[in-house]
Amino acid sequence: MLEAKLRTRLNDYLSPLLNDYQKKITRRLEPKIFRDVIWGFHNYRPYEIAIIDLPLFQRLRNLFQTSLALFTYPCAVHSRFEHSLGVASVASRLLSAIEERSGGHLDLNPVMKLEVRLAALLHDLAHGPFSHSSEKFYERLTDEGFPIFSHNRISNRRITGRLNLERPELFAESSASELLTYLLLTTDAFKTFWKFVVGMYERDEPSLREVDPERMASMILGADLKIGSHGRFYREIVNGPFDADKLDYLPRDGYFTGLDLRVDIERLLHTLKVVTQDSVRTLGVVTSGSSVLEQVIFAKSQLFSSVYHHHKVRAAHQLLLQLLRTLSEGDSRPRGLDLNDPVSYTILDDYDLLGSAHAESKAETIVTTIKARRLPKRALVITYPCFADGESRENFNRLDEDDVKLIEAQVESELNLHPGDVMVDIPEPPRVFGTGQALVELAPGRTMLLQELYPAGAWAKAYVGYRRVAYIFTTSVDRRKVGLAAKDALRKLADPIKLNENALDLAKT
Amino acid sequence: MATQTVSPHAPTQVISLRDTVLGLISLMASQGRTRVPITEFFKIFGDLHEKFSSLLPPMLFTHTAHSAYSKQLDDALQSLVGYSVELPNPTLQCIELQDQVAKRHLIWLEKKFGRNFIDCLEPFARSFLAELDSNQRTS
Repeated sequence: MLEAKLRTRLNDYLSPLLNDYQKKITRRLEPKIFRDVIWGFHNYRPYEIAIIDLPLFQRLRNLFQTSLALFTYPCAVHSRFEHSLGVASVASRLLSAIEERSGGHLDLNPVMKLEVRLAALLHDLAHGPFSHSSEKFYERLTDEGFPIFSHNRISNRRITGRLNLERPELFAESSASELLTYLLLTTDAFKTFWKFVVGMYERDEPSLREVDPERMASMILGADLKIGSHGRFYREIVNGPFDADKLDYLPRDGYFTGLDLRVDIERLLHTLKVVTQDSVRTLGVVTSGSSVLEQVIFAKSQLFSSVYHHHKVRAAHQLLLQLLRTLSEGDSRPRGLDLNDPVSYTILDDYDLLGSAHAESKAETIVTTIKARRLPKRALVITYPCFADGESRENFNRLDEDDVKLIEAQVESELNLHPGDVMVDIPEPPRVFGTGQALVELAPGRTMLLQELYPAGAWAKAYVGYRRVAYIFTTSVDRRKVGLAAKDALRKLADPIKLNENALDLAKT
Repeated sequence: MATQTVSPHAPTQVISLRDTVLGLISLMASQGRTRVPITEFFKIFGDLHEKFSSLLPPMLFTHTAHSAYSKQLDDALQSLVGYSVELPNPTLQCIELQDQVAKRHLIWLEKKFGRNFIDCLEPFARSFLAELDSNQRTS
């Protein structure tokens, strides 16, 4: 089983690291108070500090939260570390608000409360360097010729992600990094370490004895398997329609990029409700909370169009992909690790990739280019108003990876450019419909989906769909020439893509 | 798309969930069902995915009394919106695919994955339509 194989490899990596760490920690008596720019002061309990001080967790300081957005939004240098602390803080607020608002009618399970906080804290533990940017690369890795993750998007069962096939009840809906986090938290090494922490603090917090790392890990995956539908709302605080992750990253990424996003979380806390239907207990809101959920949907759409899919951010992403490809071909090995091994992504950080360990190699040239912010520029912009006709729009949406490579090679060859001088970038649209699945209680016993009450999710789905933008980038100084050649190459495809002048105008060539 | 030859549906050929969803919506549109409410689409997909599991990746739907939801299906559908299928005004609550466009999609899917792919999808589309009709009668 691939799951067991990967877990063993992670275990081999973690075991000495955790043994060494265990020898160094001492029992704390007091919680630690952190000051956060978004949430203010927050207490972390001594056993949580034992987790936070883990080298594995401290590594999150070296993963930029918004990946390469810092080359466009210079203040976006916040990391996965403070985001993870923030998610734990928000999870706590959600739990307290649920309890308080129930007026004593809902007794939250003390073990589950601890698990929700811990899962929130640990949810990003296995993120790779530059987070989602590298995830797009390693989710395609194979094992004995078969894809490991494939991000679940391949329909034919024979070649779909091996891990998803092995345990669909757990893995079917999870991303590659969530899956690696699950595997990491369910290694023997982590479980042994956790037992050690429990032994240290069970006198102060007896519920710790019942905390199950597997249940925490399945909350991170978004699976109810070990929780059951009766306790689904606990899982939804960690991974759900309006989870603590979103409620932290929306204001945090907005703050650090300078985008004026509004998500009125204080209002949301006063409208939370655990809705019970057919013994399924779901996290929902009363009617007055629906407008905050709409803010969540629109803030996410805005972040994508203004930050994550900004042309300079995508240009840097293309360079990063070139770097990962080069490194995976063995050009140089950061910290001696093989980038064809998914485990290496749980070890490396952003600084390892942008470090100077690639001396005299092709990778070093790419790193220097990124660091000097000599980013490729737009030669062509392809978005809804750029198509000459409807059929071209349909044909564009049919392009696959082979087509992309063919277009790049054709333009490079026609203009005598080097391989890698032309980059076709087609970002995937964000998922915005999920929050529309939140339940809104209209009156006791009467609920509706937010989506049916107000079609905010569908509006955002349309906005994101029609707002999608793809780019053809180049490092060549004659961008217009590249733009014209690319436009021509697209027109000459078997299923032609005809673009109008907007494609060149929007690229400002 | 770049290859012009008609490819047989080889078992090792990669077929994305998105292409499967596109095939399904196109088959339904070619049989006259050009509009499908999004919530219904998720719900029925959630009901039928196990029956047609050989055509789909492993999927896990979250069910409530009102809905069924899958992130994978959401991603697949989102990547079609605006380019391959429409979300028409005024409510934006339905996926819309005109018959003529559906035909073009089916021709392309057959060219890419072979006739067998469409043949395999047909029973799925039939069951989907039957559920849609029955839901409409009961609502």
